Formats: sequence, C-alpha cells, structure tokens
Amino acid sequence: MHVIRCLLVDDDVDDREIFNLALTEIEPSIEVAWAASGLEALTRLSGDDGKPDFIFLDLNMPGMRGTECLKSIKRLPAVEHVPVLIYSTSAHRKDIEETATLGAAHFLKKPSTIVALVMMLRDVFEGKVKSFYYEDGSGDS
Amino acid sequence: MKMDLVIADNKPILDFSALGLVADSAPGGITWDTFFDAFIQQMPVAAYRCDAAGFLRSYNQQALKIWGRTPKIGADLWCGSWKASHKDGTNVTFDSAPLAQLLTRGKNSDGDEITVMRPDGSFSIIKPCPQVIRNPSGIIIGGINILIDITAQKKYETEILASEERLRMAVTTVEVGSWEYNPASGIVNCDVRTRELLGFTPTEWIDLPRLLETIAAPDKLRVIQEVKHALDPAVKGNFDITCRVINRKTGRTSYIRGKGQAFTEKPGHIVRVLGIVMDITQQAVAKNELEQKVADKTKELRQTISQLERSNHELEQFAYIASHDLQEPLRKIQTFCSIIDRRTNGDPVLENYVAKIDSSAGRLSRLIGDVLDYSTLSHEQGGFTNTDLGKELDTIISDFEVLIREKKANVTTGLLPIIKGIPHQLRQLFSNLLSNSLKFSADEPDISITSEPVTEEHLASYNLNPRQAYTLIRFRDNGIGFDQKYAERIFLIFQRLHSEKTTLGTGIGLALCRKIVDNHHGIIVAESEQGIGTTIKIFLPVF
Repeated sequence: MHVIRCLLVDDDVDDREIFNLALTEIEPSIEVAWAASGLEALTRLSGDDGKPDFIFLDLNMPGMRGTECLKSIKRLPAVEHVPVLIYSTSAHRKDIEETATLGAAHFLKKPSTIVALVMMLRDVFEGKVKSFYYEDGSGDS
Repeated sequence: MKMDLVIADNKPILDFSALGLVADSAPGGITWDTFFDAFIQQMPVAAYRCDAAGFLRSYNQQALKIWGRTPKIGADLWCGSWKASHKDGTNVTFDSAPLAQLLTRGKNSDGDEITVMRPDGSFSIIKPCPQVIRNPSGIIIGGINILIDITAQKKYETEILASEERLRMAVTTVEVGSWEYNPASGIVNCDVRTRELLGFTPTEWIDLPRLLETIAAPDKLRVIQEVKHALDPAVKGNFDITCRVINRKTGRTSYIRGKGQAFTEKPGHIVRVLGIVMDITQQAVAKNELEQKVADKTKELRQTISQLERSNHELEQFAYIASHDLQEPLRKIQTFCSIIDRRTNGDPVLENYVAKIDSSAGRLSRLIGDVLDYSTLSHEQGGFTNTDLGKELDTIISDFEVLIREKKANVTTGLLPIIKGIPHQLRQLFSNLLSNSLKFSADEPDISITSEPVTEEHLASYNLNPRQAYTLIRFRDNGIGFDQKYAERIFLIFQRLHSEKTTLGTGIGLALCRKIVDNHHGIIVAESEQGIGTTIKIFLPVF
C-alpha cells in the first residue's frame, strides 16, 4: 500500500495538532512531516528526506512569508512538480491571485470544524478538488 | 487804409484801397451805394450796409436769415437784429453795435461773438466783421458789416469742451493718470496724478529714461522690452503693462497698470504715444493675499489627503488583522469545540454548552467577515466593466439552490440589463438581498427579481441625475416585512429589526448593499408592509 507523504509548513502548534487529528481519520495511512518555518521547509526539501507527495503551506508566518517560500519551492528542481496547497486562515483576493500565479495547486481556507477539515483533506488526496480556491463545503459540488 | 477790408473767414477777399475804390464814383459810372448794394447781394455770407448816421441801407438774404425778421431800410440803426448779446452776456445796444463802435469811435470789435436772438426763439452766433467806407477826402460815408455764422462751430467747440471736461472728471474719479510721449523730442508729458504716483514734481521735465528709472528692478527689463515692442512700427502699437514702481520721493513701492496706444502719421512713423496709468496696489495686494490663502488651503488640503491616505492604509491594515489575527483564534475555538463535541459521550449538559460556544463563535466569525467586507467596499471604487446583471443573478441563485429547495421558495426573474458595474460587488448585492428574502420569509417564499425603465417621476421623486440613464431593479418578496417607518434604518450598519432568535444575521447585510449601490452612484430604497412583504428598489446607472 502506498503511503502518502505530506509536508506541513506552519508555525502554529495547535494547527499542527488539528491537522494530525484529522489525518488519523483518513485511510490509507498518511505520513506527515512538519516544518515550523519557510526556511526549515526549504532545508528539508533540499535535503535527503525524500520528496513529499503534497506540501501544505501556511501564508502568515514569522520570518519568510508563505508566498516567498512558494517561490523558492518552485525553483527547486527536485520538488518543483510537487503540488503545493496553500493552507491559510485568511483568504484575501490578492493572496489567492498571487499564489495562483506563483504555481500553487490550490488555495485551501482552513476550515473551522474537524469534520470539514477531514472532508477537505480527503478531497485533496482523492484529487476531487476542482477549483483553485477551496473553503468549507465548496468541494461538495 | 488797412482797416477798410472786406473779409470772410478772416481772409481778405477784396482790398478797397488797393483797387482805388475810394473814388467819387464806382467803375462804370454807377454810384458807390449802388455798387456796394450789388456787392452785398452777391456775397455768399450775411452782410448789410449802413450810412454814416447808422441807418440801415441795404442787406442780403443771408442777413435776413440770421436776423429772423425784415428790418426797415432807413429806420433800423446799425444792425437789423431783433435782440442780440455780446460774448460777455451784455445786450447789444445802438451804442455797442460793432458797426456803431467802428464808425463812431474807430473801435474794432475783433474777437467779439454776438448771439443774435430771433423773434421765433431761435438764435445764431455770429462773428461781426465791420468795415468802414470813406470818400476820397477820407470822410466816412458809411460802413459794411459782414456776419459770419459760427453757430455750428460754437456748438462743436462746446461739445468738445464738455467731453474734455467729462474725460477730466472721469480721470479724476477713477484715479487714472495720463501721459503722452513724443518720440521726436523724447519728452513724456505727464499729468499731475502720474507725477504724484512716480514722485516727480509738477514742473520737472520727464523723458523716457527718467520715466523707466522709476520701475522696480525686477520688472524693469520686461517693461523696457514691452515698450520697445509697442514702439516697433511693425506691431499694432498698443501695450498693457502691470509692474511695480518705486516713488522717487517716498521710496514706496506701488503696483501700477499702464496702457498705451501709439499713433502714426504715416505708416511706420510714430508721432506720439498716448496712455494712462492706474495705481492698482490695493488690487495687487488683495490678489497676492488671495493667492497666499489659496496656497495655504491647498497645503491644508494636501495634508488632509495624506492623513486620509494614512487612515485608508490603516483601514487596510485593520482589515488584514481582522481577517487573519481575529479569525485565527476564533477558528481554533470552533475547531476544538467541534473536537469536544465528538467526545461528549452523549452528556446533554456538555452538548448544550458546546452548542452555545459554537453558536457564539459562529456569530463572531460572521461579524468579523462582514465588517471586513464593509471596510473593503468602503475603499474599493474601481473595476467598472460591462456586467450582465442577469448572468450574475443566475450565479447567485444557483449558489442558493440548496436553501431555495429547503425553503420551497419560488424565485422568478425577469430580463435584467447589462450595465457598467463592479461584477463581484453586484453579485454580493444580489446575494445579500436573496439571502435576506429567504431568511425573513414565511413558509414557501415567493421572490421575484425584475427590471424596468426609469420614469420621469422616478427621476424627480428620488432626486436622480436627469442626464443619467438608469435601470430600476425590483427585488420583491412576501416575507415577514417591517414597519415602513424603519425603511431608512435598515440600511444602517448594525441596525437589526429582528432578534437573533428568529433570524440569522449581523446587521451589516443591507448596509453592505447600500455601500455597493453608493459605489455605483445609484439609490437603494425599501418599501415594506408587515406580514405582506418587502420590495427593495435599486436604481443603477446603466453606463
């Protein structure tokens, strides 16, 4: 059975816990690595940790902003084709447009319930997300 | 016999002495009386003859015209007029008549002007030219008086004097000085006012260089060039200069305006330049003060704009913070709340508390979202493009499909126009209105959205711009409605007519609608009746 490997780039410990909690409800098993900053993410991706299947990237982080990190990821030949999913609390039109231009796969707005998050992640892994922007329930239709 | 001349217009036309006419008889054997009478008849101007005693002997038609009466030959003395007065206003008596004065006292009335009054009330002003007639022995045998009518000339003279006086009065009243420049002599004749203004004494001579010396240094070169240009025979020859001058006596600076016109005798040859000069110091000072005030106000305005820009920027910052920093902890409350909810093990008390936390957090989240929308709309003005209202409405209706089905709502739409608008704002407008209609509805709501042309009455009663084409969108529902007295209040932010218990909502929805319509320079109004339904009327400019 293929193990899905994810990299979550998020400075927020709570969000990491919520993310992990949601993953436990998803089959098959998913392996998640965690980077607390953009710089840490780039270090991991340039190292020998192996290539993840999905990168979840928060935008609002101290130090290197998510958009900067996205730009750098897309310049790394080893991972330039790995889908990067923006994973953000805020959904500014400007941010959505900018990340789309920079080559993000989707823009996911962090849901406010665990059920919604489980649904969102399931949609992502099963390739059911159709539009670039995705928020609570928008994957239903 | 120098005196004995017949003159007209002050020029001798016949010199009797030179012709030797003081003889016993005139040429051809006729008497001198006959000769002179015939001569008088031929004269082109008024003339008459008296004998040595002063009795009138003959006159011509022109004389009759001046007198306005027919005098009696041999009876009227010295003159044929009815009444006459001298230049000084005294009456002409037998004694003071010009011919009487010449013949009896040898006094010539040169320069006198006599006003001859006619019985019909009219008058003529004449210049008398009395002449003596002597016999060969030198004895005076009579006199001829030629009357030169100068009425018209006097009339013109009076008119010229009056207009000169008027000009003088005007110049005095408006405080204008005058001057005249003679290029041949280089002298500038200035009146007293011009001299006072520039600080010259009333008598000292002024030439062009001395005049130009009074001009303040910063303006001097410009004025000299303009004067030079005006004196150039190739140009029209007038100028209008405003400059500063420094009074030679007081050293005070004043602003003057000088206007001049060059006069030519033959093309290219200026003989004189006439002009006026005005003291415009007060106007100039007032103008400078005004300009200073405008500059001050502009500066204030710039400061205000920069403050506005700053506060706009702060607002954007706030919007960002509101949407992220406030949403972030709230989202976590909601998420952890949802985690607890699944671990209550069916404890009803715990479930109730979790539901309360979730409901409050949900409401806070909507509030933050709406405030953010409102603040974003407040400074978002651009992005106008052709917007198909029908298409945008269809999108919104399909977004609400689930709710429409749940509520068993019947939504009908008419044909909506394409207008110049901001698409996402108009979608939000429709979304908020449709959401309201579904929210505040009884069972099975009936909602219709139609458009119609705007009438003259609409333009007048809603104070719309009559030069602008509008479309009227009607959003009608059969919901719970509200008292018409609240029709304005519903569009204010955080004004809610219904409690949270019966409806969902933050009190921003309709305020957002008004903001959007304002952004489109339109008008939104509500008409409602409790229990019957509500109609929202939206007037939107078409382009």
